[in-house]
Amino acid sequence: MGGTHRILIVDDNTAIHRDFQKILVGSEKRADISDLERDLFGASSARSGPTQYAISCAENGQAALELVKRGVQQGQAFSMAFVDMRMPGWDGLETLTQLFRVQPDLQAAICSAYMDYSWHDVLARLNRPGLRLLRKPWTSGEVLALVHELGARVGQARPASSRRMS
Amino acid sequence: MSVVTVDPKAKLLLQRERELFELRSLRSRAEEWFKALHAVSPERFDVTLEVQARRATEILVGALSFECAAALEYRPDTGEVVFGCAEPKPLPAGLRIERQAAEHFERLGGGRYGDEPEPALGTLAQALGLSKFFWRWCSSCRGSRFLFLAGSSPRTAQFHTFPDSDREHFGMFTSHAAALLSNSLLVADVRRERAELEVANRGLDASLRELEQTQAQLVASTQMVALASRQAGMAEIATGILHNVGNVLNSVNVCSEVALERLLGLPLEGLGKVSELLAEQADLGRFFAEDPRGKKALEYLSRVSERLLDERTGIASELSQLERHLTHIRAIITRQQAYAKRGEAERCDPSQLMEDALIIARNSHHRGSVEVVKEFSPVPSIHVGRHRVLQILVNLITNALLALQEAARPDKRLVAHVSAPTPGSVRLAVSDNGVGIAPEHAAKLFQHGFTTRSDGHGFGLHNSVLTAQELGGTLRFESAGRGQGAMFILDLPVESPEPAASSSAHPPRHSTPVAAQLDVQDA
Repeated sequence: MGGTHRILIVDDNTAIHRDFQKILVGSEKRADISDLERDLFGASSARSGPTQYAISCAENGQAALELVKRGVQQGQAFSMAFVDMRMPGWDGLETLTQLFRVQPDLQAAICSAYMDYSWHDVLARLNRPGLRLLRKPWTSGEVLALVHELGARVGQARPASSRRMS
Repeated sequence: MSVVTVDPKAKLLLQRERELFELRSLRSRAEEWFKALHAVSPERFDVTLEVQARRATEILVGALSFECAAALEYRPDTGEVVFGCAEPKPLPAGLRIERQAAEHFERLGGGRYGDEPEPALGTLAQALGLSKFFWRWCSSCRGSRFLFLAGSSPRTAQFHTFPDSDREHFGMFTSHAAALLSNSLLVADVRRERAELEVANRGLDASLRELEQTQAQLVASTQMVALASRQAGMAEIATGILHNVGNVLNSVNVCSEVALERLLGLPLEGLGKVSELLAEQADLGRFFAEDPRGKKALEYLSRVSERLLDERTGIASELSQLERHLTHIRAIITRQQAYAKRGEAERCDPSQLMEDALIIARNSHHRGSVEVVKEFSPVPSIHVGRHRVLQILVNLITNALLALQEAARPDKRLVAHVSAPTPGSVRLAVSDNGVGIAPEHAAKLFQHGFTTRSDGHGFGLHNSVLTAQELGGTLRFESAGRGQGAMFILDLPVESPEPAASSSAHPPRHSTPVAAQLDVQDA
């Protein structure tokens, strides 16, 4: 997986924003000791590599749409979006419909504890067979696997050289 | 002399005997007519015109020895024969009554044709093959004319004669027969009408059954809707809980995973290696002073301690968050358990109900910054089904929060109001300064299925107003219009209208007097 993926989190619950942040970016404040370990003991025991994900969060569909629009305009389109189903204003379905209109190649997963629609209906309405479902409560393993999978798809569907600017 | 004397006597005797014979034959003829009158009358009056007419002609020819007889019905205006039968030969096809014949019949009613020729009847007589005959004309009950004819053909007219008394008897017989024919027409009409009535009746019966069926379906579907709306009200709470618990559990997962990861990531191996390195040194003073690794080891130790402190803070923070989340979940579950158990009417503190409803509704719709103001006056406790009131209140608060969400104003405010407008009742009101209610929506607001939200099902308020009524209370609203906010007012009686056991077991308990207590929700 090359380069940095921009990931959009759309959830009205800000605790969920924090959860994604923690898993994908990690703690910001952590004294770095890897260089000294290399000097003292030879091989480094450092666990984390450079951050591969940039997270942006929106509390509702309209705000998410603005972020996606700006990303497309500035040539820094999001790779993927995690969208909550039950939200005030636009629900997840409406939000995704709007996002896909601006950026058709956006990879996406719906996250919800409770679905107001059947999954079949969701796929039929969005006509996106590649859409993934992330059921709450999720674990970090599920999220990382999903990010990896969606990130790999971005590479296939959209060569980094020719990003669509629709 | 004697001959002379005898002769007149004998002549007289002969004459008497002839007279007697004639009288006898006349009497037997009269008896035949009399029998014929009986014979032509049916046992039942439901015979058809055809059967009745045929019977009359058969009797005229068979029992009364006329050579031929006919009975027919024709229309006086056109002379068209509607129906007819004749004995012994059938009525000639295409027979019509000519105008002059018809006029003749109309004028005279009945008569004898033959001895005094009537030119008007010549054509008809010829068509029927009659030379001398009796005729009888009457009008029928449906405006047509009946015509009876009986007599001799030209071939037999010379010797086949009928006494004059036959004319009267024929008149009697045919007027009786005409009455019978009219009667059979009437019977047919009655039967047809009855059949029509029966058909109509069956139709009515069918539509009545259909109506009953529709009514039953209507009742069933109403009950179903009532059930569905009740379930929808419950579902609203349930999905809110599910959504909320799901979110909190998510954070629980992340906290515990992050804590574990940080714990496993502690640089403890490095510490071990440093202590080994130091133990290997014969002269620690020189190692620190001269060996470049000595300085780095010291720096490493200081950074590791810094890192360990960071991690401890981080892990402690994750664990305290974890505890908060778990407390939150426990609170949600406890509250649900409390309500799940309380189905029947009991003493409730209205202010507490409002508090609980606020917590439940805000759990599932915790959105942005809304100032929540509690205007709680001291009120008596009410005897009511807790969860049912709660359901209404959660619905009202949810609606208010959604109305606020849609509004653009920055000073969003929800007022929860509890008071006792009369000694026997308690008022629970929820008002907001949100988008308000358009006048055209006001009338339909409580209707089943009415909603202005794309994701609404229109059950909430409908169900709420029904529940309020079942609880012996009322639910109404006030709104100055679009953009003017709205206030929903639930008035409940202090005593439940349903007869409930042990209702007087608890004396009315008064809530703590909290006047205009202010609670500003964090953003």
